Amino acid sequence: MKGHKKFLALSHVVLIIVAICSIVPFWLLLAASFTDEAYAIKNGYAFWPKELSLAAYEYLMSQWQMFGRGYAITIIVTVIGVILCLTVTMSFGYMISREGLPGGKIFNYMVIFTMLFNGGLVATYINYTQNFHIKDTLFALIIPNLVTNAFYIFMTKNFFKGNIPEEIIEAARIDGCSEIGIFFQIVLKLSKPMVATLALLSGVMYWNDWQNGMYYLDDVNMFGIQNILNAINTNAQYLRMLGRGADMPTETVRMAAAAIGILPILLIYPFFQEYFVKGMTMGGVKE
Amino acid sequence: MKKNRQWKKWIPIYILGLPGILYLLINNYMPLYGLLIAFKDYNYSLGVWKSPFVGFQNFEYLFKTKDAWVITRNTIGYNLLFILLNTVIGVALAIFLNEVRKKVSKKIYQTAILLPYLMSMVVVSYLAYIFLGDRTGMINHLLTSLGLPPVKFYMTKTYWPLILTFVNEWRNIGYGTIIFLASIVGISESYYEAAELDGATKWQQIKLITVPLLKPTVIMLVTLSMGNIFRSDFGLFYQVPRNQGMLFSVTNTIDTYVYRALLQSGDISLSSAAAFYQSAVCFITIIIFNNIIKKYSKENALF
Amino acid sequence: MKKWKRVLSVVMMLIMALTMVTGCSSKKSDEDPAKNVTDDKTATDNGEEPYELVIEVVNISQSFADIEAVQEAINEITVPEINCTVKLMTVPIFEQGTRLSMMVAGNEKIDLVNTGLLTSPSTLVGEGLLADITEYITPTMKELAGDLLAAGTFDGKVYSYPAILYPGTVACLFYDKDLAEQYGIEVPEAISKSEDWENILKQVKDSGMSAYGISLGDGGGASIMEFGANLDGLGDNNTLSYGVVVDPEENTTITNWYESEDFAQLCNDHYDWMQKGYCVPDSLTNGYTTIDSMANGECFAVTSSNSVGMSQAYLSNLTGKNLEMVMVREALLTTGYVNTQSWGVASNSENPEKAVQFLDLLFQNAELANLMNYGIEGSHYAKVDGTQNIVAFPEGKDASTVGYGGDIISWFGDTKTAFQRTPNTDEFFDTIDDYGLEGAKKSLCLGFTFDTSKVATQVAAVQSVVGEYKPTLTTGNVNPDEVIPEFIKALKDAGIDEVIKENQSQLDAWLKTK
Repeated sequence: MKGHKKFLALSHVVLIIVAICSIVPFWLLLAASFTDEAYAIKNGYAFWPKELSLAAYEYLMSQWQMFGRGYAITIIVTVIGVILCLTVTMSFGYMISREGLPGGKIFNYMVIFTMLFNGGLVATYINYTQNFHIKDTLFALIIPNLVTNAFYIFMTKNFFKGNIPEEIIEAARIDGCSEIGIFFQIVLKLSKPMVATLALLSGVMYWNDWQNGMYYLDDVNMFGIQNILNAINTNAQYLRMLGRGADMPTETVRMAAAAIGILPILLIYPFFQEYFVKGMTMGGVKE
Repeated sequence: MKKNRQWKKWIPIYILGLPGILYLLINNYMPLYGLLIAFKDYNYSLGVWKSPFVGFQNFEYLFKTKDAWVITRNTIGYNLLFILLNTVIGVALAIFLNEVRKKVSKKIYQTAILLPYLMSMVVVSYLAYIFLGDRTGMINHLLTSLGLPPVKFYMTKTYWPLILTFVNEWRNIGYGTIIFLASIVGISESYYEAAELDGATKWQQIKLITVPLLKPTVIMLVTLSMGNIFRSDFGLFYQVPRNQGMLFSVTNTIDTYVYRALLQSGDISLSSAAAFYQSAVCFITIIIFNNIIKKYSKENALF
Repeated sequence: MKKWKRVLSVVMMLIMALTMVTGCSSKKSDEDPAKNVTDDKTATDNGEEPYELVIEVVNISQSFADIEAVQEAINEITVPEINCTVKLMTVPIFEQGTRLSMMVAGNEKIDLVNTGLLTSPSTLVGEGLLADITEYITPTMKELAGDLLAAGTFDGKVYSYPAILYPGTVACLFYDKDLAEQYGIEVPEAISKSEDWENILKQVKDSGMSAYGISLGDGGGASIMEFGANLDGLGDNNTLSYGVVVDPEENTTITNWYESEDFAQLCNDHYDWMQKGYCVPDSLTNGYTTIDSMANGECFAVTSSNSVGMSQAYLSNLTGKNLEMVMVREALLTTGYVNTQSWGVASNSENPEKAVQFLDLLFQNAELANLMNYGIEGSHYAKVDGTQNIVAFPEGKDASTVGYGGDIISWFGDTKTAFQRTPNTDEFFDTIDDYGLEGAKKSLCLGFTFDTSKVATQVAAVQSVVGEYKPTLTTGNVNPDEVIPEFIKALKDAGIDEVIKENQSQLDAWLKTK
């Protein structure tokens, strides 16, 4: 028992150090975004800004309508995207995790190949715009390159193979359950950790993506939050160049923009974590 | 007769996998013809098929440079180091995290570990500059206030392997930790209980239960990382060192070299050739690595 | 199964929410149906429907609320004159580089595009993105552009037309007049030798003012001091990797700038100044441009190019300081300068002839030019009292709130005849000729473009080497005596001599044809 306590103490120590290492730079980011830029240029930033200024946030807030819409779009895209990702990835991962699947090897190679070789931006763009006409639609933010990838597929395949015992599946089969029924009613229920992990990872990917918006959206009204922040970033620089303010804050605007981009996830994550943690602790299969 | 029944059994499974197959076909396979651009002098008005074929000409600039060895060494070297560290640190943190039972602490740690992953590398590069800047950087402020001479970090290459490794681990460790944690949670409690009864210490339990049961996940992640051995995180190697020439010998990777070489011309054929070259080497690497794994523990090989 | 029913209903709800959001912010319907004007006014294409011309307007990023109204006003001129309607496509500057290639690759409708802002026309031609418009250029356009047209000619065919007809660029130093008065700094009218620079910078240092003399920037792009050496970069003004012609109005020999004495002198000077504390110490890494530094009050003076688009008044406004200009090198016309902004026609345009007709009209018709640059009088701009041709935003509006015309980077029309925005004044128009063919020095290579395809590998390698060594050298951060020899050797290994040889032979061949 003593060993346990010692280990627990060690865990806390290590984790606290790691947590500090992670939080400190983020704190710095926040502090920087509230610093007066003219002061910062001469003297750098500090953990507690010596000269406070809301100029960066003022500039960002001057575009608040865009933000509201941007957040809405990104949230919708992320939620739909994650659901899509879970559906496609887990069902496909389950299929290729089945022992003895005819053509299983082919599927394996098929997935690996996609991870390695990519047709490139031009071909992908032509494919999506000419064959599927997704330009300037919300599908453009959801579908290209984000729904699933080799990494997720192998992660789920691995999980199904390693953590769902054959006996349970056999038992269900004997009970007369169909294969599809087995998947939905039994396997998925036992896969909560995997679902939670995949949802988290793909959610972060959708939230942070800006490339799809840049290539496939011409209409600025459809920009998600990352594209908007990107635009504002580059704008601040160009606006300075075009003479809209010798004291236009550019670096602090970038910091503030980054903070705004991260904030929602930070606020939502603790709530989502409830389910995550619950799912994790219930994930073990009891004999 | 038996074969019939066997086929019937697989059909619903195939149906399950159908959406995935369709997606991969549409997203990855249909545009695959774009690989040809690497071998052509691509002309937008002629399109991929009609543009003139030039063989391996587009690949020359990748090799006929004094930097060819440096960028290759840097790319592979850093990647191997990162794979090692990601695994060791990720597994360790996941084990520690698993120990913590209190909800609040667990939440805080998990959020904190994931936090760096949410920041883009560009932002990270600004934060790095806040620490490392010549005049205004925090470290130099500290040094000068202690009476020590300031260090010009962005002009001294010796520090950078360490800096880049630290930044990379700091940012990406959350990703791996979460995946390992999901696997650990899936390990049945009964194993630990049995070991406890047998008098095993905590350390023994970790060594003999947790780590071995994590092996499949570790092998999977390492194999997949091998598939990226020839690529690098552009943000890490270009933005964080602020594109400083004096640091090139330790920060230049294939991706940054290509970017800098093509900055003026933006030649799509040349950049396609670079991507193809990287893909080909990654492909060979992952196949070799997978075969090696097959020899030692067949069931863990990725494919 | 119940759980999945729930999930399904959530998805349905989200899809509905999605369509609602997209419905509210849906793209404005594209085709303006051929409007009412076709019947009564003279149509010049055998009574055909007017062609809709898609024109790229590069701006900072917002969409313009009144764009349709402006389009209608433009149509009122274009339909009777050349039988076409206009659709303005706003493109944010940071996307401009990829937009054209994506649209051509996806075969989307686009006609008139800006070239040179981020990618040179020669590159675009090489990639098949621009249409050959040689046969459509009218005599008036030829006369208007004069020798400048050659800059848009590649392999004997015309692909781009200059957007600014007076593209000469002066290399100069702008200094803070107020600071100079306050601290008694004497600045000469023109600078030509190292001693001149040293003189100014020393005065600044000795005066005790908190600002540094100057910022040496981050080494990206050729420094003004280099242009002070009177160079033509032959298409690569940024890295000078194609070799340079020194004193190009007199001679046509291409040399390796980095091997020259002038370059060594320049680096030594900069290193010296850095040691003496005349310059902003960390300009190499701090991420601020020289103009930023000036605006922040960190320096007394800033080197800059001066041109029709970058006037003293404009720069003063930009930096918020009262600036005075000092000549370093007189106005020079090179291919590179002409091509910093020009018009091209996309290679997949359905009616390139119409696009060029539009350009012709644009340069002849000041009203059209003003519409495109500034919008509709009253709603989007107002003439400034007491001036002839100066406009400003209407009362209560600024660049971000006005319905059209804020932060447009593209320039439409003839600079001499169109309006100018504040802070420029009417005097601006008196100086225009100094930057054009009549007043500026002409490089003998004006119109020549280097085709790098035979030496593409070497060029890539050379540019890589330049990117590695040049910034630290020109910003005075390393000792040139030690580093320059290394730099030159690396350049030679990368093949710069072959590049220059190829360039020279192309140049000589081209000169023969003149």
